[in-house]
Amino acid sequence: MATPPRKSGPDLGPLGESAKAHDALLRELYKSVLPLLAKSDVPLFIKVFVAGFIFMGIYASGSVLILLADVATSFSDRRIDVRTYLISFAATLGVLLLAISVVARAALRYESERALEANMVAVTRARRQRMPDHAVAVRR
Amino acid sequence: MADEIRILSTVSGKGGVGKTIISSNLARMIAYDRKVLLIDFDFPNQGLTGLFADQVRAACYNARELIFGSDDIDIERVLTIRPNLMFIPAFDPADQDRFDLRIERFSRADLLARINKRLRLLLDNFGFDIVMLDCHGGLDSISFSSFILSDRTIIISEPDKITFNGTLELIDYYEKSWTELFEENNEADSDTLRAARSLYSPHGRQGIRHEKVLFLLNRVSGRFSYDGLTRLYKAQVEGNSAFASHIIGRYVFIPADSILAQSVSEYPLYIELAPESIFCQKLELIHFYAFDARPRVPGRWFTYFIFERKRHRALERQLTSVEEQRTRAVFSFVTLVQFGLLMATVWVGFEASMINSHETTKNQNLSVTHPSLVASWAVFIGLGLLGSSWLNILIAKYYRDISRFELRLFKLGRRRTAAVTLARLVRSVGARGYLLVSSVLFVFIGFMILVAAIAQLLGLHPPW
Repeated sequence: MATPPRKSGPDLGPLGESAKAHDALLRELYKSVLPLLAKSDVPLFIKVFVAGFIFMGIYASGSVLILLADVATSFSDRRIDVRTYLISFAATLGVLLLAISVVARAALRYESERALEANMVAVTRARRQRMPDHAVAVRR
Repeated sequence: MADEIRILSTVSGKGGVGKTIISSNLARMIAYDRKVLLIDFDFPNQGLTGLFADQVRAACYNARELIFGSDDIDIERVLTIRPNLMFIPAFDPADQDRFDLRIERFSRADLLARINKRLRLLLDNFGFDIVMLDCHGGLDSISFSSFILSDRTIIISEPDKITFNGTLELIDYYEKSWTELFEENNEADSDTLRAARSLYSPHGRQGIRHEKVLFLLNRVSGRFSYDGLTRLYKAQVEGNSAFASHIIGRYVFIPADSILAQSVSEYPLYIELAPESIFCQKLELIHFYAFDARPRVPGRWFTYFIFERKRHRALERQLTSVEEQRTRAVFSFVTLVQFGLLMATVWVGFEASMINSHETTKNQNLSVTHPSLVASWAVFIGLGLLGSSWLNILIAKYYRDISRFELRLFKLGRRRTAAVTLARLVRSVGARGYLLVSSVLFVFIGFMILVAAIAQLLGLHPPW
């Protein structure tokens, strides 16, 4: 039996497998995360964070795939342009740090206000149990 | 809020929320333009009496005498603590019976009528424009009378569970007391209450003026947002009480101030020490809400009008203290520098490896002064210098506040050791000078380095 002629260049089979695994993982992730964006009771900063998170997922996943493909092809015929990756990762990391600090600030405010609100609600609920039935001086 | 304001009161549901400091400083601010009488109605704690202890003399006219004594007000015995600012402490310090106040001997209606009569006497016969009442933090009849009789009441609270509960209790107490006072066949039939009503009941049967309350939330921080806090308090205070909704007009938030906390033990009136501070600007805001006019605040450095004065909207929304801003800036800068260093190290390492492989193919040695390497590092150094300059300016502001504080304390005679004051001033002024000069140098050098480095990286010559 004649063996099929071997293709020149690297074997990209494992790369395809890992691409499929990435794809499945991202799909599962977004299936659970995307509905958050449609909810009206989710604060805006969380939606922005989720949108950024989705973008970063796609970006990181794509970058890994491109890097793997680049590494695989570099064995045969060309050099990797590491400088492009450095610039790309530095810029992304910088933006990510900035985004995290902005979101963290918004999140701190959100959490503090929710905590205060919970305290206030606890107080008003407790007070309602012992509200006197005297007539109020001014009614709306 | 354009109608005439003659009586202001500060009240709170619990003690320790900053009522005394706010009322004394606000009274001082109003006294720049008007004749003010400040009265300490906080009999249990005597906050103002303690604050002005070095000016309170034996046999001075006091609040106990004002309420429980005769109608003859001996104005000669009223203390003058500043031009246009007179003060009635809670007690005569020599009074041996001061713990035996016996408020319970008087009904609410009696107290209301008595206080009303005496305040009217003070306003009409002795030429005071404003009477400011500092009340007890908690529920008491004198606080209730002050609330009813004042044209504007400042309810002071803090953003926590305990104070919130106390504040709601206070508002409920006022509502209940007012309602009971007008119930049929109750105290409403007494002559004294009728007299009190006829003397001061400008709004008819309902009595309590709409939106007379400024709700002041003290010691807030950047953990909250202006919109969030306003929404929360509107919903939780006004949403649960029609009475609260009727009386509350405005919300004001005052951030914590570490120098203010420090100054209380050194000098009673912070706005004289730091008229440029956010605290003083917030009091201006309260003054504006109460009187529809900005006060005249003397003693401000010219730099205030260039760098420190906040616009009305920004001032309303200011929740972070200056100290909090500085701390945050330092943390951000340290994070940025670390990130920059990490990036610089990776980048320069890569550049070095590339140059190394390229040069060695030509059998040449890599030099650490290779233009590409130097330019890469220089970009980060330039950026670091610009960031340092920004940070230095922020820290210099701290030394500016401290040096102003020390200098004014010295001028007001609160620093006995001139040498120590001088040393402190030299330290803070020197530190500030160094920080400002280094900032200018950092900006200049950082900018030059940055331009040269970018030109080098792009293969261009710098413009010089």
